[in-house]
Amino acid sequence: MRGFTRRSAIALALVAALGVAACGGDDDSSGGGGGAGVEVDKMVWAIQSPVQSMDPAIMADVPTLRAQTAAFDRVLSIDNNGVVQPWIASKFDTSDPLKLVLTIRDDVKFWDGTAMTVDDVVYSIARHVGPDSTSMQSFNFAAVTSVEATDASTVTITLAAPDPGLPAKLSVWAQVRQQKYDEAAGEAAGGSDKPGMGTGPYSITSYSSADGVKLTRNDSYWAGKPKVKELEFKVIGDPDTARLALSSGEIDGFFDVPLIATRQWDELENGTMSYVAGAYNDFLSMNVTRAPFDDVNARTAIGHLIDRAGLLGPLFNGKATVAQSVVPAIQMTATFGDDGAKKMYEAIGALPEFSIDKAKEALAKSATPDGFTLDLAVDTSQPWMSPLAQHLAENAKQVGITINVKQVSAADWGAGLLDPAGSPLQLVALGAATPWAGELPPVILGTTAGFPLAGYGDEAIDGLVGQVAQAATVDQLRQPLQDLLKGATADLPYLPLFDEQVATAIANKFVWEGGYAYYALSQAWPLQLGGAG
Amino acid sequence: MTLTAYALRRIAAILIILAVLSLLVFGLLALMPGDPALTLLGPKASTPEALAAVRERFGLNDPFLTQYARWVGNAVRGDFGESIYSGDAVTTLIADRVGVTAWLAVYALVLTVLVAVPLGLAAGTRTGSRTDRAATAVSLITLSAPTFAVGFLLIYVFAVKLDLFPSFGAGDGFFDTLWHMTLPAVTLAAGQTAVLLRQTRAATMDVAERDFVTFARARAISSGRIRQRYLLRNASLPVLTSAGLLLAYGLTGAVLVENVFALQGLGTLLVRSVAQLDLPVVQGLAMFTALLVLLTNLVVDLLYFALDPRLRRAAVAS
Repeated sequence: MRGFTRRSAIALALVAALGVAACGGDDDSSGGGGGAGVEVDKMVWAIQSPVQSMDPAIMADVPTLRAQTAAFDRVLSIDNNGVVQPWIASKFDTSDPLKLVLTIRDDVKFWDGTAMTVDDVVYSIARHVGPDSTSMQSFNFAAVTSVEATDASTVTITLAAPDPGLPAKLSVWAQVRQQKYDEAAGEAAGGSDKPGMGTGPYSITSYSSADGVKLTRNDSYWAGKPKVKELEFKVIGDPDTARLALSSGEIDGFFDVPLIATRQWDELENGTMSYVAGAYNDFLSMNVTRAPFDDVNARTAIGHLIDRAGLLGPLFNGKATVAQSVVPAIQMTATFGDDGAKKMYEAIGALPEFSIDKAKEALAKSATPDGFTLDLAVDTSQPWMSPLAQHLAENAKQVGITINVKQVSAADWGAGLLDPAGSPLQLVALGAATPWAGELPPVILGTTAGFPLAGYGDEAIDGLVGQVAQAATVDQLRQPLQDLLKGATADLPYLPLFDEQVATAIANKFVWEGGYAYYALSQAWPLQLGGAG
Repeated sequence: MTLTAYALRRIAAILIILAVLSLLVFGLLALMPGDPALTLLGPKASTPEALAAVRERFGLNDPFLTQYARWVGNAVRGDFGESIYSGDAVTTLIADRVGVTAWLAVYALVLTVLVAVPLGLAAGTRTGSRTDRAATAVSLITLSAPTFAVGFLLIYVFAVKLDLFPSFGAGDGFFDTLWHMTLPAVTLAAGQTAVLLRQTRAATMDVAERDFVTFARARAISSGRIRQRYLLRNASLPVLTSAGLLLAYGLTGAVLVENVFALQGLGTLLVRSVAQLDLPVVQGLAMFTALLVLLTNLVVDLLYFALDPRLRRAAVAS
């Protein structure tokens, strides 16, 4: 989850492609509150950048979402296994691909004690829908044509085209807010004076982008009250400062520890590191419509120039694996199982191995046998990019290719990815929010892709992409995905690099029941926290 | 010319400089490559309807000078627009952070002056002495030590190992803030002390060789009195100039110190806003920090008059 929003605009948009296969579900429990540890007075989390708004319609990068999802309930949730589950909606039905029917709980109250109504739920979803919506999340709901209260406990979402990812999107973006409060707040809604009125496990005591967020436990929470009475988010931009603050006991947890620095974090005496596989990966994009990458041999040459296995240690302290496709490994195994994933990888074929000699051979066969010169932008906020680019540039020099590494800000890197006048060679980090293997390919493959970074597509590829995007079951997904990835491995518009893990630090005096999960932002995650006792 | 007339003339000059700066700062938006509406829309969905709404709201279809006049009109009323990311008023964002930055800048300057001026005076009056050599060595070390390294070293020793000070944050209330700001202020003051110490030493050496100091010594005036009445006062103008520059630097945001100690000040806000292309915030900050620098210079210039009667007499004579 970290990846798709931390990594700027391009990555943010990936949530649009959530491709979870959700067939509906029932909530047979009253919730999952208060499950972990013993009661404690306070827990302080550090986040790397300010909470920019308490309203996802205005801003929802990962640090911001940490605070939003601690306070506001979502309509649905995703469990630790990546399966969409009921939450504010006690049932959801996706049997009709053009309709999502939500049955809303009747025992939910806002922090001010007023009852949550179905109209509040409709408002919380509909504000992201339609061409007039100014919500930052409106692109996530592009397929939705209407959101209506069918009766006092049912909300029906109608779609213009099937969107198997809609339930997963609702687990992040459909944050339940009181309509009356927002309308009274006007443009101030989500800001420090009028952050919002929700139903979640914590109410907002204070919020400012400078001072952070203070939350107070909602003792009347419908899913059971959390164990931690006060939750605070403080901003510490430098991870080294955060590590020292955790050492001195001033903070109790830190999300998204940079993998390149985990060795120092592992030595914490009063804290424990948690590493979980993340559903996102890093890759190199080579635009097949532009020289020199309109020649597969040039792309293959580049593919031979990166020692992906050798870089796992230096770049990630070993907390990553070599990517075998543009589908994150966690999605592949979650969707097809270990054996199924293995068969899939065998079927799609191997990526170019690291070999300077083979790079020379491939380049000699290309239309640019004497080499070429290209720029490669690296986002300075992503620690792995710069050393990888330098590694590639050094190796490329040996075969006559000149790669000029340009250090840029996250904003400039994001803007450069889709700049038609930009370099055809790009480093990309994309993330996903579900375990569905069909989620990412339609975002970057085919002429209809939301982010056609490599310009890779034709009629046959578009056909496969369409089948992948529409697949609602594993059986429907397997063959078109296999064919699509097999073609992509041979044609190499993208060179998959790494599947990164997600690292979280938590003080030993606290417990996270079941451990930190990649899908935490789709859950009422503070319910899993408590004192170690 | 009286002191009041001089001050009024300087204030008029500040207003002219601000006007020119405002044109330059506003030009940033116009000079940005691409569609300003897309820039203003930031990360929000850029549907044709949303783009049209932004163009209408910000008057982007108007001529440049009309847009500039409107922006200046709003700015004069204290309205610098809203952050394209958070939607917060730029003035609110600046107001939330200026206290932290002012605390850091003033606290660091106080520490700097308390250490650098006496040490610089002592070094300047006893050139080549053990004190002078020690002061020179200390100033070289503090000047060449990277700010972030000094900051992390102080955190490790005084926050983690000795548990005397907090490792990050700004604190609440006067004494808590004083406690929280001590390590950041010491970090910032370390580099500043070296600059001011060298400046004070050089100015003192220059004054110490003047005839009136020699004559004072010949009159058997005590060395303490000579330092206070002759050396310090006559060396104060260049020292004051340096101190003013250091304060202006601190007020415009000591980014590295703010980053190491997780202080949400103007420096971190500026860096983040530039990285995010949050232009209304960048514009507001540029104007605000320019105003701070100009006002600091004005105060320093007025202090010249207070400290040096020769300047007062010259001003009256002119």
